[in-house]
Amino acid sequence: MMDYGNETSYDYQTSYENKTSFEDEIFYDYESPCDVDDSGNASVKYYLQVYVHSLICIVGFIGNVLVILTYAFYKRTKSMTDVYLLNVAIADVLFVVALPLIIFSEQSNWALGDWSCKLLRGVYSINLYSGILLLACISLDRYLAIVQARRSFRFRSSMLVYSYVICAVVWLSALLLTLPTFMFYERYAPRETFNMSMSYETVTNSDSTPVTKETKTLATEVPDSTQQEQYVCFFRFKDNNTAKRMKVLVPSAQVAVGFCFPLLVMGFCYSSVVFTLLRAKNFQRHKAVRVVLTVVLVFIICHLPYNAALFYDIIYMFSGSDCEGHSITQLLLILTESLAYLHCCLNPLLYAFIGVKFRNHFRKVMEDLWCLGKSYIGARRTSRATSEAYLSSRRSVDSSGYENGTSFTM
Amino acid sequence: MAQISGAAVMFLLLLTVSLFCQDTAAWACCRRYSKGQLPVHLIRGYSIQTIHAICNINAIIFHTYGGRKMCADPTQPWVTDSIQKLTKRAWALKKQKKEKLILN
Repeated sequence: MMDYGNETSYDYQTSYENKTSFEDEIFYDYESPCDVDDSGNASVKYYLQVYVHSLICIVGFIGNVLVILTYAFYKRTKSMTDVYLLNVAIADVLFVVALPLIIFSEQSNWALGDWSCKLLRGVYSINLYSGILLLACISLDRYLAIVQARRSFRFRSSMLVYSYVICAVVWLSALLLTLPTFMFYERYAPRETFNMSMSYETVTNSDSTPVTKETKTLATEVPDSTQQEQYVCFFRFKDNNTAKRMKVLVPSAQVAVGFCFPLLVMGFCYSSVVFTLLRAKNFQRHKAVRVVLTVVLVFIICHLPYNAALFYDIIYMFSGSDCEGHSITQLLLILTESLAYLHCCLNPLLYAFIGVKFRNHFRKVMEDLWCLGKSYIGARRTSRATSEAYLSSRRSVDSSGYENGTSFTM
Repeated sequence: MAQISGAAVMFLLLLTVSLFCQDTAAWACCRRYSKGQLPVHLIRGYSIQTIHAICNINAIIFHTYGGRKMCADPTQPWVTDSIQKLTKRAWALKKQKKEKLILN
């Protein structure tokens, strides 16, 4: 079983009986099946999942929860950008919660069953789309605020309502793009999909006449059948046409809607923003330009390699490469995917914490949480009223400093 | 902060659990078809790979006596011929078994 893909393996078999050596000559230009998960790639994937993805999940979770907490406690969502930033943080948190559950399920044979396969993969896909599309919305919002400042100034108060509508549209379209995943992902044992395995064996009788005997060769064909049956969570279709269409459409949609479209929007909006800023006479403009360039550059660095690998994989999906080439493509997909995951723990830094106003609010939240923790311990000894008085005074100070505008302050 | 560190601990717990359940799966999919033909007397059996699940092309995988697997194009005439011959062999085998049962 192990050597069927190995072309050099026919050298040492010359001592075999005639039939085998004849077979070797025929097999000079034969194609054998490629391992779906070869051991090298599987171990790379495993170490990435344990060491890199876990770190991404923890950092991403903490960062995005801090953003959500800041908005929840103090900084009421008062501008379009705030609404988007909150939604990005929610999408990222859901993503980093779904990711370890997917890794865990993958390694425990999807023991939770079919629904966990559909649900986890679905949640993962929804948040992937919504997170990236919302980043495009943020770029559009900044474009309106800076480039179209005069025109959009009148509408800025009513923009808040629009931003909720836009967020709803983004989440709905993410859900729509995930529908194929919900419908066609299933938990199953891949072995049972190689159906109708018929095998015969010719054995020589006592009177030396060859007799064909049906044997159950499944045990010899799959050497690890004594082990627990392996399950995957992947596409499963009923007919050829749907299979072909969906296997191309789903990753294509991911490249188009999950990368190319947001990149185009961001490219247009941010380049206009940069031109406008460079013309302005503001002493802080260089810092603003630097921030914009960082945002775009990080997006490209994180998502371009994975989407390029995905695109390459789509192109050579049906007109196959050889096993080695396929293995390299899979390895590239695994490696670049981790880079794409990294983006969700950079978002809080790139978008929320880079803003001066947001940082101030965050500092207040941290101080109050610190005081609350202190007073909670102290409350057992002294009265509780002091801390509440402190909190309310804090809030009133905060609300008096409200102003109307976007949080595009850097 | 307490809830955050709690979640982090939960996550680490999940990871350590998954550390102990590591196993690598190996399924093989045909990616291309063989150019040559395979004489039917070398074939022990075959299995059908469909595009419906993890693999991306439809293929017939011939299993040989030498323990090899060969990917074949199911639209090629020699492949359908071989499968028909193998099916006949299976029928003959069943007949043989039945006759033996009757004789005994």
